[in-house]
Amino acid sequence: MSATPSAPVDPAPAATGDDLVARFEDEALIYLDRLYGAALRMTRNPADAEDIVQETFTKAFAAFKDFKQGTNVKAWLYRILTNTFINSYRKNQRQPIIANGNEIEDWQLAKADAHSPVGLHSAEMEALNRLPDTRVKQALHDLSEEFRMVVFLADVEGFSYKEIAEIMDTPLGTVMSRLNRGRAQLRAKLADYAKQYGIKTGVGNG
Amino acid sequence: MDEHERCHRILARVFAFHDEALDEAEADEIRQHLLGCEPCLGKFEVERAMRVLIRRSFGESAPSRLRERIREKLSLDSFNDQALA
Repeated sequence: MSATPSAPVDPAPAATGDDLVARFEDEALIYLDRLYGAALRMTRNPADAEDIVQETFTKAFAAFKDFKQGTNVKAWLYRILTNTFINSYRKNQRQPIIANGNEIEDWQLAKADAHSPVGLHSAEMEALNRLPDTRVKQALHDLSEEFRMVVFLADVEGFSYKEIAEIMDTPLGTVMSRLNRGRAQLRAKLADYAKQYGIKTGVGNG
Repeated sequence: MDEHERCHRILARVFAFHDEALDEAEADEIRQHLLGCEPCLGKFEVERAMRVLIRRSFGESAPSRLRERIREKLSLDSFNDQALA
């Protein structure tokens, strides 16, 4: 077992281009599906998602030669993806964007803060467990952008608060408050779906 | 502290508990409470179910043409790097 992640393990043997490509495929390109999923959450559009993912891997490859072994490749790729989304993709967008947390509508905050964790009856729990993927995706997509990404990174990708703060280049406290609010909104919405779905499919009606 | 306030304090940490972001003493306090409080236990179970649901809903695969496009670009970039070196 190697110990310290900060120390480069081997003194980078002069790799040929082909070696580097092979190493990149093994260590970085294996996250393609995951990054594509994240890009879909950002752009909400498959064509744009493909573009920013391709740009992300191109940039990552260019920087890969100097990449320290032992560093978290996945988090590093997510950071490049996030920057690519903000810097290239957004600049081409015409619609106004929400730049930071202060511009979130007050009613959104009030609504989220009022939510304590949801409770469900057993029939609703069953309905929740059987909610279709499309419903869950829609519920996440309906969150405002800054909530959507922190919730995705935490709940789908399993990143820690600290890793999310690094990926999004956002203070830890901001990440935690967005995560709390975003999660509360998402769960409230999923609980609503579960309640509707439970009634519609007649769960519990013999 | 009355019962209501106690539950409120426990439920405020439902996310942190599932994130395993609490220290052991705090986590034990919550486990202890859940043993004797059905409403809170129910809400913690809902949160666990939510996480399972959310995680399983996002297993997307990138289109294969994207993988091909990236591979081609990598070989090209690598070739150009070598040519410049």
